[in-house]
Amino acid sequence: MEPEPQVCVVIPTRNEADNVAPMLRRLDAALAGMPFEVMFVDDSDDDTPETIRAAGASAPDRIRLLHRLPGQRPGGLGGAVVAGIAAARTPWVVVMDGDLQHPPETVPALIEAATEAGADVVVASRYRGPGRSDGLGGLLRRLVSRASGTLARLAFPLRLRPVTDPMSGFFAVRREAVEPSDLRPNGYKILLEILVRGRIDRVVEVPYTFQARHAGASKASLREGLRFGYHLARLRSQMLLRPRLRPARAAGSAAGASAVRRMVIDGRRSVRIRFALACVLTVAAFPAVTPMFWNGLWSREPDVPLVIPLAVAAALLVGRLKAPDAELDVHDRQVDGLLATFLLMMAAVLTVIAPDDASSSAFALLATAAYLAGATVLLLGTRAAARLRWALVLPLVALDVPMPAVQHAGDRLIRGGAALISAPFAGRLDATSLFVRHAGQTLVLPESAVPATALPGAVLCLALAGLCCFGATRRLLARVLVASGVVTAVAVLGLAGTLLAGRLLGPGAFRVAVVPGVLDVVLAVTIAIFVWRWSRAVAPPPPTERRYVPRGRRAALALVVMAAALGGPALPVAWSSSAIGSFISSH
Amino acid sequence: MIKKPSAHLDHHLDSDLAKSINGLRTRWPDYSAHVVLTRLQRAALLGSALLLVPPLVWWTIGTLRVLIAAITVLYAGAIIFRIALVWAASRDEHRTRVSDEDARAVPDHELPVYTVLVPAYREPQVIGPLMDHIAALEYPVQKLDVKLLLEADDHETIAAALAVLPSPHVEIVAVPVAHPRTKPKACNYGLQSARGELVTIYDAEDRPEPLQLRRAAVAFSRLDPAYVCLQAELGYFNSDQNRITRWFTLDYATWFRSLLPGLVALGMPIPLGGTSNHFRMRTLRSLGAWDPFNVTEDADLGIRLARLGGRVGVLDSVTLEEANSDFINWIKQRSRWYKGYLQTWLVHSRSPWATARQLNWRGLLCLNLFVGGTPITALLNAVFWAMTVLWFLATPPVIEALFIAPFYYVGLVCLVFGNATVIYLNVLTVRQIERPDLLATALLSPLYWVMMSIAGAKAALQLIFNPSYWEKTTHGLHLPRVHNSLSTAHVD
Repeated sequence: MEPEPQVCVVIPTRNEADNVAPMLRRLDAALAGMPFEVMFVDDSDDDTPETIRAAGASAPDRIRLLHRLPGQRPGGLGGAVVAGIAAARTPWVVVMDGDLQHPPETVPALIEAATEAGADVVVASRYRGPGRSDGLGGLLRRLVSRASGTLARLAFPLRLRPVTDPMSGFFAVRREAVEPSDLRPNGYKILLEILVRGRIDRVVEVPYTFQARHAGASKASLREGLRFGYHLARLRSQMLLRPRLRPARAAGSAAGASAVRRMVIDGRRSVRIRFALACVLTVAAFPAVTPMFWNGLWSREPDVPLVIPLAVAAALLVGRLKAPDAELDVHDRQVDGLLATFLLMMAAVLTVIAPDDASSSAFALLATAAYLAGATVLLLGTRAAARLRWALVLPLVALDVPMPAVQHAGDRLIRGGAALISAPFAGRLDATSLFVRHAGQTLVLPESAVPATALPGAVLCLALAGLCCFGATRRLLARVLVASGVVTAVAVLGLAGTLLAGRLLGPGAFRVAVVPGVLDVVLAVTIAIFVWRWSRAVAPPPPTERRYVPRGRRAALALVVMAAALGGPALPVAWSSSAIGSFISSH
Repeated sequence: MIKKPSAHLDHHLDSDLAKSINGLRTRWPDYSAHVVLTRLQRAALLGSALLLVPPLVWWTIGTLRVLIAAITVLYAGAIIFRIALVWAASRDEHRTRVSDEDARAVPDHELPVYTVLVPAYREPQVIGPLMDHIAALEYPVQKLDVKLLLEADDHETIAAALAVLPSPHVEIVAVPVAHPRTKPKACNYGLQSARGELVTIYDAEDRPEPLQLRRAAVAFSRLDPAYVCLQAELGYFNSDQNRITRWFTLDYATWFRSLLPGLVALGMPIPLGGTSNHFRMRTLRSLGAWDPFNVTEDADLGIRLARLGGRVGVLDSVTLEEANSDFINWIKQRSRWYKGYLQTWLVHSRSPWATARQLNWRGLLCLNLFVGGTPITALLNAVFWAMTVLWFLATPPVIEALFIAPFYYVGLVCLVFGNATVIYLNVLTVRQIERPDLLATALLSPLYWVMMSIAGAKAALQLIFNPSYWEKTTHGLHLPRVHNSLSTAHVD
């Protein structure tokens, strides 16, 4: 009884009837004593299949034929090889062309190298050692062949490092290292795909000499080369997103590839990353707004220090980014698209028609808000954008809204409160100015230390955030009233604390305490804590259930293009003559 | 009493199914929306588009001026038409009224057999209430032929229906699975085995007024045989759920109290509403019943009925429905309606001369200004509002250049007077339905128009890219929400 064959030689053929008999003869001679089977995968339209059947009649178990009918030949040559590998039943598969340019005499060397080196793939290389590519007639063809190999090695430097001839059509592969359904043959040599996609740990090469064509016509052409370029690019981009090698995987995630993939490719799309992307794109689209915000963060020049609405918006986002359980799970991408188109167009129009004077900042802010809203609608869906609407709009609270009366009221309230509390240790210079004495020095509270505009702004933000969390209910009124009281108390106590610091610790501490913005930050933190608690109490994120996140591939692309169109021209101007520059230089 | 496709019934069922899908299409291909645009229409559209290109390129502003002038005139026409409808409706009572006494006076044995078609899909939870509402109908059980039309693969609903099936007058009809999976196809299928002399449709969650069938039967016996259909008024039982349902309530009230009676008064065809339309069975069958390829088969049937010489009355009896309470859901539903209106408009513009002859100028006016005009004005509203806002923001000279002086004033009148009038009509409706609490809603209706514009844009997009897609509307949103909302979804 003959032992089980260990090797299957897969030979793709196409109109090569004349080569069949010599091929089998030479294989038999070369592999004498080693049990093997031959699998012809035949895409011919002539009598090649009949020839193969006739040749195999003597040993039907050993010589198999897989004839692919016209119209059922996916993947061309590569597809034929994959079909052969899929049908092979032996532990090792040798792939070689049917035109005798691959000498069958090299096959034993391949098998030997495979078993000796414990490799998964053995490549018969034209370029290694004594191997020569004599048969590759024509300078151009040699050039194309060599160039495509070099290109492939450039594209996959790690995977193909031990391989000099990744374009070889002559190789041996361990059957279980290949999952045929993973391969996407595109007519070209399949070795590259197997090396890149397969479970390959070790590759060795064996030299051989490429031989002149025995009979039949060659199928390689420049067009094949062009197709190869496309194939290579596709393979590279796909493997970039699904790296097989561990270092590449680590590098990939470090480079943020996994974040991108997470967002746009498969189901694990993170809401937070998407919202962050929307913010980043907005900043990119409106570079002029960034310095405006940066300055507004600390100065009270317009009205409310921006740090307060931004803190409230951030606190709101924490609790409301994920959909609450009660939210209806009905979505519509067309509505998203229409709303986003409208909002983005609004952003563009506002940018274009903005006048060149002081009021242009209002236009820019509105355009920014419109863009951010449009991006949120596109990347997170209409429902999520509606849920976040107050958080998106809150920064506009800082828009130039002249509120002298309110400002005055806030000013009087804080100053009066502080005067009342600090009466034992502080004095009044006149109706408004407070001072303390320390070691004979008189420390007068400067105007800028009183968060007169911050307080009304803070209350407004609280009201908006409360409206967002509770709707127009009685609960809203109660909570906003309590929170406003606490925030006012913090402001008054803060001011009194400043005075006390001056009284007890001296002018140094006093100077630190009256830096504009310190009290604003304290207020912002206080409000943010309130809003964060409200937002969490009302909308606890669902524990496990995965909620809807729209597909964002094209949306992200559109937003990037739009951001580039809007922000690109403005970028150099904004950063050279920007207020950020002046801010940095002034400090 | 479930009628399931079984072996010996196969060829019979096949012919029923084929008839319900292809009946109209094979009989009058020109009346079916199976093809959105006929070859001639395609050629005409392409031709006019090509004709527009050279002037748009070489004479951009001038062409736009002419276009805008034409649109302004049409716009003004639509507004005047609307006012005329309300005025006509207010002059007289144009709804068909049957008093309670008259309705109850007819002895049971003189009443005709009444078929009630109830199509439902994937809504097992409404079957129970549905049975209650059917039981509440004051109509002799032996004269009722209720057909519950369920899709054969919708095992949940079929199981729920089998579990509560009360009496032999309710029959479950399993509609074989076949495309298009639309309500009109199910209705056509149910119609094949219906045995009534009169027939009506209710949605599964509808709550018809108990006397409605008797009123309709009496009205049909009184009216001229030319009246083949009576449309009952639709209202909402959850109108106070949120702002959207309030707007919707107002919208429907205007539609059924003012606009439809106005159309009746002016002798114009009526685009029927989705449910509670009552037909004479024989005429309905002879008209080819519903077009399964039109996504508003009801509006289409109204126009087809008028073209073939039938008349429609408005019955003074209310069926309560569930108003859509969710923004996205509402847009989906409304965009389907608009798309269906556009489909209907295109179907009936295929042979303009025949249509003109059949409908006369009144019908033609209705078809163009009401059926075609409603979605188109909804869409154009957005464009003109955007232009107005832009003009106030930046006063770009382009916009001024776009208007020719006389038409500019027409447009201005439309903007100021037209909008004010439409809001005023809504306020009138508030008075008419005696719901003073809806006054604020009426005054806020411009926001509702924004929603309409979005729906209009969506409808236009879909008509181009996906004409026979049936937008699903999720129902049961007024119910306390269970964990997974999708289990309560169905196609209406």
